[in-house]
Amino acid sequence: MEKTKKYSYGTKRFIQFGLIAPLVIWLVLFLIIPYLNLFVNSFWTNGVFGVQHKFTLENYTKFFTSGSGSNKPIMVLLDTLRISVIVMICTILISFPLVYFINFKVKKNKQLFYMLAIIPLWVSYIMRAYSWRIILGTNGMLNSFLIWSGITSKPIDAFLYSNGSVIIAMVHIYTPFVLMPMYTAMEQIPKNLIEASKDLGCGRIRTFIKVLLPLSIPGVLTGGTYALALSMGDFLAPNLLGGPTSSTKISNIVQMQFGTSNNWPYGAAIAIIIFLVVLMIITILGKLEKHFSKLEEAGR
Amino acid sequence: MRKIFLQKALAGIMVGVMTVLGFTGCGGSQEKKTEIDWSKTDFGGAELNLLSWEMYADDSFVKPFEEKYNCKINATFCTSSDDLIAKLKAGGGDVYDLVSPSGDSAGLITQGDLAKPIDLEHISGWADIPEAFKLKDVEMDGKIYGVPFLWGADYVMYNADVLSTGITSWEELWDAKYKGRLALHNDISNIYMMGLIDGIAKDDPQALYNMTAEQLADAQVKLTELNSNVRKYWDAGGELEDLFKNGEVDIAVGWPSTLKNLQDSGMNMKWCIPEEGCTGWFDRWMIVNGTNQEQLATLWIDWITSAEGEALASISTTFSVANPKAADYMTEEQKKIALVDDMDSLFSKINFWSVVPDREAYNETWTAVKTTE
Amino acid sequence: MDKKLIEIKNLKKSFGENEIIKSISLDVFDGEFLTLLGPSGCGKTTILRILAGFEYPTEGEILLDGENLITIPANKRNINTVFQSYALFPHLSVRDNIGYGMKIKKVPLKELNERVDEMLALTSLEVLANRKPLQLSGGQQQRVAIARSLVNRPKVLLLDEPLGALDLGLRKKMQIELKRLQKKLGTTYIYVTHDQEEALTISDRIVVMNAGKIEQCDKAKTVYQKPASKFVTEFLGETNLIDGEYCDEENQAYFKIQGRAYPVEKQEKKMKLLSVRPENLKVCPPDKDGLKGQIVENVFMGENYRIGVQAANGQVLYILQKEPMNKGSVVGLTFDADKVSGI
Repeated sequence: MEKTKKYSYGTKRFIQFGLIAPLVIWLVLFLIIPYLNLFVNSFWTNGVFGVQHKFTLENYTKFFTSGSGSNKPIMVLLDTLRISVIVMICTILISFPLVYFINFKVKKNKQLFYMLAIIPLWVSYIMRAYSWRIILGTNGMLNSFLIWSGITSKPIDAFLYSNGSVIIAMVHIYTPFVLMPMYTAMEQIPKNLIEASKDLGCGRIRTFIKVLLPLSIPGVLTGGTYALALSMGDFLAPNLLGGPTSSTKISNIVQMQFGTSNNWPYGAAIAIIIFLVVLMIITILGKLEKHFSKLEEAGR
Repeated sequence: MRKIFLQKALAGIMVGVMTVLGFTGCGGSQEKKTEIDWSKTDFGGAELNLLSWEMYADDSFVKPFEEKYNCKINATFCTSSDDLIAKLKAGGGDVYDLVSPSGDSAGLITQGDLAKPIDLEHISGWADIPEAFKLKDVEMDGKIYGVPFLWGADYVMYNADVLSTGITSWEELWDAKYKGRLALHNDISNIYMMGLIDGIAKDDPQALYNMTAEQLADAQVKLTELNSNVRKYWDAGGELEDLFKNGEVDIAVGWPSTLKNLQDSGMNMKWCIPEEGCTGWFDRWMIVNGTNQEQLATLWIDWITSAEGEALASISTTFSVANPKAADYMTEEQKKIALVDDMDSLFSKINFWSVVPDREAYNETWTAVKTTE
Repeated sequence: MDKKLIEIKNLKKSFGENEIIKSISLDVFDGEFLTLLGPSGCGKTTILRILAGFEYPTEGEILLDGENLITIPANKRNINTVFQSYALFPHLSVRDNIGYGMKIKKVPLKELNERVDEMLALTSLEVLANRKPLQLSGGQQQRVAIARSLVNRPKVLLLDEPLGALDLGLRKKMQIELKRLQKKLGTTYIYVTHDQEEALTISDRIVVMNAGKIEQCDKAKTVYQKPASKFVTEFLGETNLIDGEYCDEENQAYFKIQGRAYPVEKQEKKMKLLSVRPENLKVCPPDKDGLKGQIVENVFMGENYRIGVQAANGQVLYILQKEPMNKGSVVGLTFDADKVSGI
């Protein structure tokens, strides 16, 4: 005699509801509502002591019309984008050899090497940023080494408090984020494709270019997307490591509206604009990634 | 069928959550009116929350208070006046009981009903504070909302081992010899500095805080030029200290407390005020509207503006005192550091921060300076 | 006399402590279809990989056309592999997959396209030329893998269990295809499989391997009919092993089973067991002596019935008949002398 559990229609629905509810609530509370809130606020007027619920478009017009030359908010946004793209490229260039090495050259203890590459994530952001100050400062480790070894005679100022130091810190901090999807993607490339390529006459370098590279592109794009999106919103690294003209990125301007400059609606408007720009870029990168991604079944 | 169900579930949950939030969001703060028993000295470990500048919660003057009244002091620090206002607005009486704004924000806080009138009867040091110090920006409808506490100058400090002399005029800061060795506060007060250089405050001290668009544009150009000499715009006193200690800068505009800390650590630091004068700040203690520790807060103000309290605060921060009687509790050495005996002369050189009506324009100018290449 | 294309001499291969190939010596003739047959882990795939250049032997020598093969790197050997998992390049079309090898060797475009078209026709893939591997079925992918290797006209084609993933009908079809292509192009095939039926179907010669050693290397028919060892006997096809005594007399050799002397072919060694395949065990009227037993089971196999005959000593011998037989009835069994072998 078979025993089958029979749930009534209502019970089934309740269970489905219960399983999906936590996710939905989380999404609503922490994603949808904040964004809606931001969006609504971007149309309110700013008062001395708080936000006034008066509809206006001036926050958006302010973004596009205020300032002149390089301090126009749109120019700051583009400059921040430029920095983010540099960070994206650098993180990819660093991650790729690392991922290749761990995936193909490490025979034993692959997990260990992977963990080592990821470990920086466990250290707090601020500590990592601060340690770059110690390394790059006028009397820091790098300058001390250069002088000690005779390569330079005076410390080099430009290492710290410049766009350079901001980029270095961001690259350091975001490489693990880029490395993880790249590793996952590369891991899935069947090893026999490399053998097949060799079998058909390709040397090591040719095989790398014709097989590995094309098949790694989806992973590279995913990782690059993370780097770009994260660095666009990073206001800490510029603040801590930027100089007089390199410590104010578009994200800092948003931060200021909610702090010292005290103009929440304007800040919300800028945030929405940044959101749309980054969303657009991510969508393009995503489409590119789908286009290159064919790795569900390689030959079998 | 399944899809429709999911959509319904989604919508239902969203509506539910938003409704809940809507209702809780609308709740306002409540005020309790209770009779105050001024003889009470034991507050049973109650917590008193301060929103203040970095050095205003030093153990030297906090611990005696905590012990005397059996309470606990928590302090949240701000890095600039705008930061202070932002935090106060965000937290209100639920989070903070006391706030110590500078000149530019004290008036705003008073006007904006963010503070409560202070029961001066219970502020023992009130009578000792000179009239000149009792700035009017914290007075409204005959009531006083803030008690003067400490004041000081945003003066120039420099590493005397590297730079043999200070500067006599602000204009010298643009000199190429300071390239990459200067640090300034990340704050609109740098714009006031430009005003001082242009001499716009000669007849009307308040002109610094009411600059026209033209004057602001001028200031922006000048400050942008100065960028090449600036190593870093510092946010917190501790950061400025690190900059000097690590040899990143040799000269800066900063607070006396930073100077004292650097001297304590062995650096040969000196200060000077250029001939054009400098700006300064006069901090007041105010009680946050909506606090439920009004009595304890009043007692704090009473303590910290008493001669003894002021003395301890001044010794710790090297800032100038509001209550001259504090001299009774200070050694000659300490009085010298805090310039107690020379108070009037120093006071006259300082143009104290006032409310900036068009703060937005100043903020934009300052942001523009930091983003111009 | 066929030309020796590959000579393998005393090949040994160990992976760390594990000695996969103990000692192999083998000659491969030009134009033959040679199969390496054996159970998993016997080393057959390892030999293939060594020939392809993906592994290097621990000891031993391999000559291709008289020249040392081991010193030549994998990508420079005139040998191509058809992988068990096909290993098609997912980002390239069928046409580009097939043309891959020629492109590397910088074959002129016109000739490249011609040869690709030729191969597409040969493997009936013309319609699918522009599809990507993911869009193909298993059988189609396998054809692409074969085409990709053959189009380069290698001296030797190595095939590593290429038909394993296909269903029976398709497998049989592809076996015929492979054989046809091989005959047509004259390429030397070295084929690896553990399916003895497949090996028997397509191979010219079979190398039966077990635990890193060669058990027997002979023409397919020979290996089946005259297995050289117990292992080969049991591995290839089904067989009945019968106890008995071998006597060698002047004109004729006999194998005494249950009191009866059955004539057998003369053997070099005194055999202890007689190996008779079910299809060669014939039914006869039961006798006082000799093989006989009771019918205990009939299993329908499609083409035949596999019928179990239990002898007095308990051993069940299997025979093949077109029709089932009555359980319980007693039959006698006999065989032709030339259709058995001894161990």
